Amino acid sequence: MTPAGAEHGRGSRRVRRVSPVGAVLVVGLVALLVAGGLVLTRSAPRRSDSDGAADNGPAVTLQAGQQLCQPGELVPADTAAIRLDAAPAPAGALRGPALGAELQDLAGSHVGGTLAAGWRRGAVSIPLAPTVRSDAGATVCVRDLGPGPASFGGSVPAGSWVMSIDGRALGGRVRIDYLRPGSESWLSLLPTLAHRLTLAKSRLVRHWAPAAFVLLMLLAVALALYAVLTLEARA
Amino acid sequence: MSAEQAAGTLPVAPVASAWQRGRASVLDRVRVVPRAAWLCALVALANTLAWSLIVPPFEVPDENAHYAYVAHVAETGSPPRPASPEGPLPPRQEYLMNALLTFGMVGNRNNPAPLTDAQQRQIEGTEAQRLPATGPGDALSATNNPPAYYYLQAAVYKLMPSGRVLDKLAAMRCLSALMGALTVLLVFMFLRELLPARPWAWTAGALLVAFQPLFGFISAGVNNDNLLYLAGAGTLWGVARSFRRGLTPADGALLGGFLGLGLVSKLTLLGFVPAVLLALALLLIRDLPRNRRAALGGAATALSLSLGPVVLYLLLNRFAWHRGFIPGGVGGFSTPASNPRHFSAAEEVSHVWQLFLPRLWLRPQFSSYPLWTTWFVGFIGRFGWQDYTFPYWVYNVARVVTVIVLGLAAVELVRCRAALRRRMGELAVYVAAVVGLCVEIGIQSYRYLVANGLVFEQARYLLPLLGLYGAIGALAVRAGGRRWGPALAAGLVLLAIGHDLYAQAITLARYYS
Repeated sequence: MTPAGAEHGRGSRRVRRVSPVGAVLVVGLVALLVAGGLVLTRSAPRRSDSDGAADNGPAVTLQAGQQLCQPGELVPADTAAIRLDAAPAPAGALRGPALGAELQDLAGSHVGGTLAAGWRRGAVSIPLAPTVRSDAGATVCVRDLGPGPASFGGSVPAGSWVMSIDGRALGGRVRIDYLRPGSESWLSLLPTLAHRLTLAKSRLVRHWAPAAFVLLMLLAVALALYAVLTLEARA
Repeated sequence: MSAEQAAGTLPVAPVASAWQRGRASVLDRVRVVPRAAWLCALVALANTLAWSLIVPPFEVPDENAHYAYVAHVAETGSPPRPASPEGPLPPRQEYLMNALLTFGMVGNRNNPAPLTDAQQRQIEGTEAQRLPATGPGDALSATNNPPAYYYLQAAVYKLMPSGRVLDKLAAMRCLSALMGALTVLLVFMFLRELLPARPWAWTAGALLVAFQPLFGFISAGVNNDNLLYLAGAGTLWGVARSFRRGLTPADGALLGGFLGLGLVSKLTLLGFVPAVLLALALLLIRDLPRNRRAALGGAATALSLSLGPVVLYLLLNRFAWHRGFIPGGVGGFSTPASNPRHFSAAEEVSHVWQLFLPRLWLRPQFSSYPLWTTWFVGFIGRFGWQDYTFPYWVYNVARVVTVIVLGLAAVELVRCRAALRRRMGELAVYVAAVVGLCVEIGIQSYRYLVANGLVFEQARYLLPLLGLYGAIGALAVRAGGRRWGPALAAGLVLLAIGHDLYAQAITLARYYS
């Protein structure tokens, strides 16, 4: 920090006066760090992936007892729930029916779970057990366990995608988010984010992309702060 | 004949010495650039390179089309010709984009980038297939663009020995980032000429540009806007330099060279032409009595360097590349029978007005208020293929900050009113640049709407005016005077850094969580 020149001494005690630029930088940086810290420590359910289907509003409605199956899904590792955009049907109904989910054709284990009746319109999560441990292909099935029907967001039709309702084929796709176990802060998700940043990139950059991103931003901010600190000297 | 002449060494000596003189002259000119300018450019380079690492491939608007144009130039030596219907992209690019889930991500803010190792293996498998790098189609929306940016990028494309699209794209993004850094350097040089009295304000203005998130985001991708921004900043520098130092052939070359480069990068810079013509006229009126030869030489150089590349481009289009003089025409369009809107000159004027200004008594042309929804919100931050934004409160805070900054800039202008009065002509040139660009965008917007029924305008089209954005910031911090100005600058730069970091955070959340 740039000393403003005047130093007051009382005995051996010397007080350094902080320049206006220095004061602004300290306050601003503390504010940035506090804001960043608050964001990084906020917890919420995080996705392991999604099926990439467009959510164009209600796509299919299941009656009580009906089952929707969506083949060809890539269920990612660390999936402990699926999240659907769901609404109790018919329109105006307030509470949704119980829902069951099952991952069929999943090599090695049976994964499934249920959600109790009473949920409201919006994003609903159906917990799965056990947690999927590695990326695997599967058919994702959702059953309306009643009472009453429920509709699910997605798109109908959706290119060449075909799902089935009680075995009857229907061109379209329901949007599914795959969720990681529990609730996580951004801070605890950082290693996962760093790994994800290495995907879908040039071989030349992918393995060092996360570190390079952090270093480049540190460099940019440090150089900018250095430039700002010299402003006063040039004024 | 002497032995030296026979050996062919004699002519080399003068050439070598001329080359050395030229090199020394260039180095001298580079040394004139202040250290702070290089520092600001380095900040911009680091920031845009960081952006390029977090924005997934083809997620900068139209990056697929711009990449296809570069690939066409690099593989065939000439720009693509319009095809009807447009596309398809070359198989190597198209298949990779499928593996990258690009088509699912674009416009769907809830769809992330590939997040699993299984998807990564699929991408690697597609890249390993060695599919054809060219196809029968065009380069989609980029096809009709002038080629300067694409030829520069084609050199990078060719220099990358790998045949993989992702490797080439990464290298091309580095060149775009470098253009972003040079743009910031030129903004600094512009501010140096425009506001010479307070050197510290130049740094503040240039840093505000370096951390502008929309600029960082676009500079991270393959898009000819990047050379357009560089040329726009360079043109403004040339104008300010000529007004401050007098019109000379060297300054005319700077002004005309950047304008010419911009015009063969993207025709959007046509919006600057009236401003440059006005500048040349005012400079000639002022400088002819003082130094007739230098002023005339400067104007002639500026005109020839801005017109020369355009004429060459038109001739190459017509006779070498067989694309017609101007592919797609300038302002030309046809209205499909299915479109209920038909061209009307009066409606066009109203559309252009309402695109940037309050509606007043005019018939409504938009369902929203474009000054806010398109320009302000877009400039503060709308990213990807226009599919993700900040939470709404950010725009409200930005509005307050903007009002304060504009107020401070106005205070400084009032304080410097005597100088402002003396430089009214120069100010008129900058106003003409703003108006010219807005009218140019507005006309394109209206004609695109009539022809396609779709919205055309995006905030990034205003970024050729980044120099003036930096100037507003520099004026605002000058309002604090010598004592408080640097502290004000520090505060604004920190706000810009926070703004940029937040934009990167929502980008990481959008694509990777």
